[in-house]
Amino acid sequence: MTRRPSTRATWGQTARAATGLLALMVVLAGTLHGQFYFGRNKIQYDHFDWQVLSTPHFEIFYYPEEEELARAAAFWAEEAFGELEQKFNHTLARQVPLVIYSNHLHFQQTNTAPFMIPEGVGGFFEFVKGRVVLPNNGSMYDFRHVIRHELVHVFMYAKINGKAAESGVWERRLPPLWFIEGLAEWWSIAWDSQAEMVIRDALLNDHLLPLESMSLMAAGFLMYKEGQSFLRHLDAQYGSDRIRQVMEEFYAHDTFEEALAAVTGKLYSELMRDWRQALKQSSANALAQQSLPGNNARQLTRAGANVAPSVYRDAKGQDHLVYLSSRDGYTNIYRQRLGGSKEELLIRGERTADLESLHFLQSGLSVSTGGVLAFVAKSYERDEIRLVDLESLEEVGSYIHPELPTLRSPSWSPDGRSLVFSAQNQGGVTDLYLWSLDDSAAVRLTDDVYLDREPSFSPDGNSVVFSSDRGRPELDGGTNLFLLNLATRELRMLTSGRHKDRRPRWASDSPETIHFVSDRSGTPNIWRLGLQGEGATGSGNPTLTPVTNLHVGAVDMLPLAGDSLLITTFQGYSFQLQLTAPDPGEPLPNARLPEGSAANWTPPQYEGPSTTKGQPYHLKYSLDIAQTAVAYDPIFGFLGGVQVGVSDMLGNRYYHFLVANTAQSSSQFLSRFNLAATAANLTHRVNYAGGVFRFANEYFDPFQGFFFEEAVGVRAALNYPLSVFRRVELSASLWQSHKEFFGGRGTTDATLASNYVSFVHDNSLWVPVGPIDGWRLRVTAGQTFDFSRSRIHNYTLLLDNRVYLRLARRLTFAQRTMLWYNDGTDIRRFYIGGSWGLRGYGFTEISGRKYIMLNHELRFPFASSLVLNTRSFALGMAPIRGALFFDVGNAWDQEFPGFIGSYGFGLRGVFMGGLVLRLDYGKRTDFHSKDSPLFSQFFFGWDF
Amino acid sequence: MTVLKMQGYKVLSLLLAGLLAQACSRGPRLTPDELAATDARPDLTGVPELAWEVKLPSPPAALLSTGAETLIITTHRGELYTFDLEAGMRASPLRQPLRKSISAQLVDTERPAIYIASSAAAELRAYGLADGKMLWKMKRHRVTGPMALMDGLLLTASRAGKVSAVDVEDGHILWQRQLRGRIYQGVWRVDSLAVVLTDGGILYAFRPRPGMDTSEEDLADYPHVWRHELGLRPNAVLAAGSERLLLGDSDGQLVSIRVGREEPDFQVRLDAPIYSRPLITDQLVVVATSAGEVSAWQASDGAPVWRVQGNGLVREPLLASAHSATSPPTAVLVPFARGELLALELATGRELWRHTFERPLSLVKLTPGGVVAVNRRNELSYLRLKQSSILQRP
Repeated sequence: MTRRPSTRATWGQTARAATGLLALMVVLAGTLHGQFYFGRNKIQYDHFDWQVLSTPHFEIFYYPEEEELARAAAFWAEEAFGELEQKFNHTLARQVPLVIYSNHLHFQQTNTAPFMIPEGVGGFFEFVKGRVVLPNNGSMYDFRHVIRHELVHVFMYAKINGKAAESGVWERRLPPLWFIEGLAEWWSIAWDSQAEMVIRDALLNDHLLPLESMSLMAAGFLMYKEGQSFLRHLDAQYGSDRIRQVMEEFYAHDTFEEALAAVTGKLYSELMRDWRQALKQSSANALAQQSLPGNNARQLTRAGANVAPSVYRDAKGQDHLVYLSSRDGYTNIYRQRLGGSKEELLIRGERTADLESLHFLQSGLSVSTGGVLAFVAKSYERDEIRLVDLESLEEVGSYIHPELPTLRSPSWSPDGRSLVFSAQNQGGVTDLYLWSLDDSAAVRLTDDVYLDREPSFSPDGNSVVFSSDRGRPELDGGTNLFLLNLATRELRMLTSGRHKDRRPRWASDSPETIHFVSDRSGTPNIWRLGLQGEGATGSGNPTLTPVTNLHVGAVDMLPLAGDSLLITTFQGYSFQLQLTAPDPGEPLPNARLPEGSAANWTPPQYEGPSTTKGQPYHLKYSLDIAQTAVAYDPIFGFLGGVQVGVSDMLGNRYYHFLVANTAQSSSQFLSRFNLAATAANLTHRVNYAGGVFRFANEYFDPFQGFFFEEAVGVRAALNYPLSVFRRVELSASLWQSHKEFFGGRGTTDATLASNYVSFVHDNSLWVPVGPIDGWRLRVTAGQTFDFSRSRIHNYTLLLDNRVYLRLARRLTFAQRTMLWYNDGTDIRRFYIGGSWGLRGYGFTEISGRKYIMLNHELRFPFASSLVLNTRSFALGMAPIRGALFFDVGNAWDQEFPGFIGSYGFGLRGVFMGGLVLRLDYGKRTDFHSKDSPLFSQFFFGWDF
Repeated sequence: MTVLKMQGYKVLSLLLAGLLAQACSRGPRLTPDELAATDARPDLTGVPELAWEVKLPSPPAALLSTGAETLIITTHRGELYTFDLEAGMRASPLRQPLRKSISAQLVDTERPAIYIASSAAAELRAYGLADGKMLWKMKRHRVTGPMALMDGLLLTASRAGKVSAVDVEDGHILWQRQLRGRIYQGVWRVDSLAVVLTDGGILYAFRPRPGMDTSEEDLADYPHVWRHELGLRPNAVLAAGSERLLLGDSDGQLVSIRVGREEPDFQVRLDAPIYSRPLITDQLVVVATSAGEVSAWQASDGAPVWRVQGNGLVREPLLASAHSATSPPTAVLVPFARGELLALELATGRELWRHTFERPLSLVKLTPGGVVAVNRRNELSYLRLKQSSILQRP
């Protein structure tokens, strides 16, 4: 063990010594996906032959399989442009790039954003290049809505920044996120039953968050809806002129709240108070006529969000409930007895590439009468239907189709021999398919552009009822129910009107009754369609009856034997399952089935000038980053440099350039030039990058003293993702090194080649302060060879293993094992003291060529928030978590000196919505004496 | 000795700073030739020809016509200078008297003077146009929207709803009144009346009395007041004609009303918001919506006369032109935000000419010789209008 006094100068100099090579490594690695030490991988499973369709205000980037969709996108984008131009009283000076993907699985491969794209993301606006990127989820209404939503961002950004720029204000500020997202919702879809449901729930359960501290709360979807609700109120009270004016005058005020107050003449707090009062009044009026979840019902689940229930009877005659739940952060499939409350974890999802996603909130489960569970899982590049026997828990079958990347909601036939499901093809069209277990291929039941989904077999197995937008040529967001006769393929419209009629389910013991979810009463509730005497002929007395009248809403249901229903309610900003025997209301008078079949429609197509055709995409680079930096070091003097990064519109190819100079006199100007150029290609599954560099700097190393080094060479890096969770990294460098040691200690010259190979695994689950579940592993081996002396310069082995065990839902035991081994003629020493290593020790206090380090933490919630609210702003941390820690390890050169360690207690909080602050108190120990003083360490960054 | 030297430097520095401050706080100077009648307008029946295009130093907030081929330009950054349209270049030093964005400006050709106000600086100033010297300034005075001149009074309004009458001679406030409501669109002059619109959609018209008046009476009780509830949005755009007002708002409501009358002459609701100040003549009113529709209506009863569909948003005021400074308007110029200028015959809506710029327009102004347009990149273009034998005058 080598211990040195911890001084700031030593740390600064050592850090400086690594600056040059680190800069190149960051530039090289930073352009590749899986670019971090750990992290998941974005994989290019598909090759897209990109085309560009140009319209007066847009450039649409698409691939041939989705040409129809691209022309519809062009039409809707131009339509939205005209409307938003009016709403904003502003026009755009440039064409807006619109990158579209035919489905979400393709969208998740986009290189236009460096981050992994969760399933819940419906599109985004990226403001560096001004790109709008979005997928088609199968619903033309949703597709048009997302285009409009993102274009509100484009206009808002242009208007606010344009106004600031013309006034000479170069600081680029944006309004708070609740306003940005709230306005995008309000000016794209106005108000709908989903927004009503979320806001009613927030009011009822008292979790309507204060907008002024939204950024602290990481409020997610609720923030969208609260912002939307507030702007709806503002519009009604003051008119949309005020909303426009706030954006126009924002630049002239210190805060957005001040701008809002200046325009409306009311304090921000008064506006908030008025809005809440208006909401409560409106909600109270509705509540007087409605019921609450839990009335006459038995709650089956309480923790997390629980959806997609299915029920089956086992060989012993016991009824079981199977459902999807996100209660531990990952999505899993659980089972519990229908009458019981103890759940059993059946299938763990989202931890392996084989079950990368179970499409929570997007796909359902179905169990056959024989006890075989059918569900959809994303497995590597596409979806599969998996069949699992619930007795043996063995997989008994699966279905996959290369032309159907997205599958949803399989539903068993009564005889358990076939499944009906919805699927999206490569062009983005969603249709119904029938898969008989006796055949390998599925039969396509519908073949059109309509969104056909959530199919359910009739009890006799002859028909399928499903939800579709085929009856809504207005594209108003409504979906209705349809009946498909499997023998004749005849379609019959069962419901009509601008309602969201969804998730139809046949009562197993009543072939004439279909339950479904509809927002006819303002929020989603359960309705019953009686087809007494209707059959397939349509001559009878249909009835339409509200089954539930919940104030907030119910989003799914399963009719059980007798009159009981298993319903999925939205409550407390979550989804819970309830067993209920509802007391239906009065049937609607004069209910009649719609006459004839649904009106046909096709998505509009942008025609434009006759010459407008898609053109092949050509690489055209534009700026991503241009930064200059000047630094001063008390010993090494000034450092100045500039970094420039460019990439193409689709983010597939990157170039980075770095120029810096550390000369202290004019004679050193050429010799102290630092240059690096890197090119990266992310088009394929294998991401690769290559670059050249010249670094010439003065360095200090505690073991080599002061020296000057000039390094000129080339470097290449390659990442191969095995799956989302695993990858192999390779890197190689070849460079000429010339060192001059100060104080007449001579010079060295060497031609060096380095090769490193790493294996990385990461399926960890994060909360804002760090991981709480999963496993992370990095194993690296590498060597540097000295050609000039024909010998190994040094070699390195690294193991970094981090395991997170969930002891309870909110309690995690985290363990990190780090081993480092370095040997050779050129010694690399590492420092393991400090907040990210052995806590309680200075960063340079413990160093060596080899080290072992074990960190243990028990992580638990401490407080939900600590917020200081003033009249004009809120400051604080949320959430705050606690940790008990115990670290042990040591570093050495020759002989292991024995273990040292530390133990104590710490707090971690998220400050201003993103920055993690950590404070640790503890004591050191060498496992012999206990008299060390209490230490405290404060640092920024996530837990290990 | 050293002490004296230091004091000398201090004195010199202060002197220089004072001179610099004085130089910076001067306004533009105009010769009498550059100050013609302000309502001089080009004849839009001519053929437009791009004379020149020049990049301005910063985004202009307003182009003020002096009646001759000289513009006074104020900017969002608080700059003030004159621009020679013949030469296509700045004609006076670029000065920044208020250091903050200029939110309202008005040229008084009679004195001659220019009045500029900055809402951010809460200041109102007057500069003589003959010598560029500051005539007076008033601090802690916030102005929203346009100002109006009437009988030696400069009328201003603040967003908080306060209407002020300022003596143009010395900048003293002669009287102030607090309205019940906020004002977003300043004060307008309709013949001998001053008009304001508050956020309750209420229109106030009053005849300011010259001389000092320190009474605290509410404007609603002020003599000669007419008050009318129109239910318009408070950001409504307003055009004043002879005894008549024409208002359009973001709900697409268009109202024509004679001041003092109980009922509007007509009121229609268009399909899209109206952001562009409409045009009012004795016979016709012309309005453009944000959806690009331009329509003309009979001023007396609102009967539709013609309608033209253009390309996209219109946000800048509609501009009228005539064959001479004294003759009634014969053509209307519609500036589309996307970059198109469309000249229409006023009586029929027939297209006279159109000119398309590559970039969105931010400001358009008529001068005696042609049309000045500024685009989003601060490029000022001058379209000179030449008479053509092809285009027949009506």
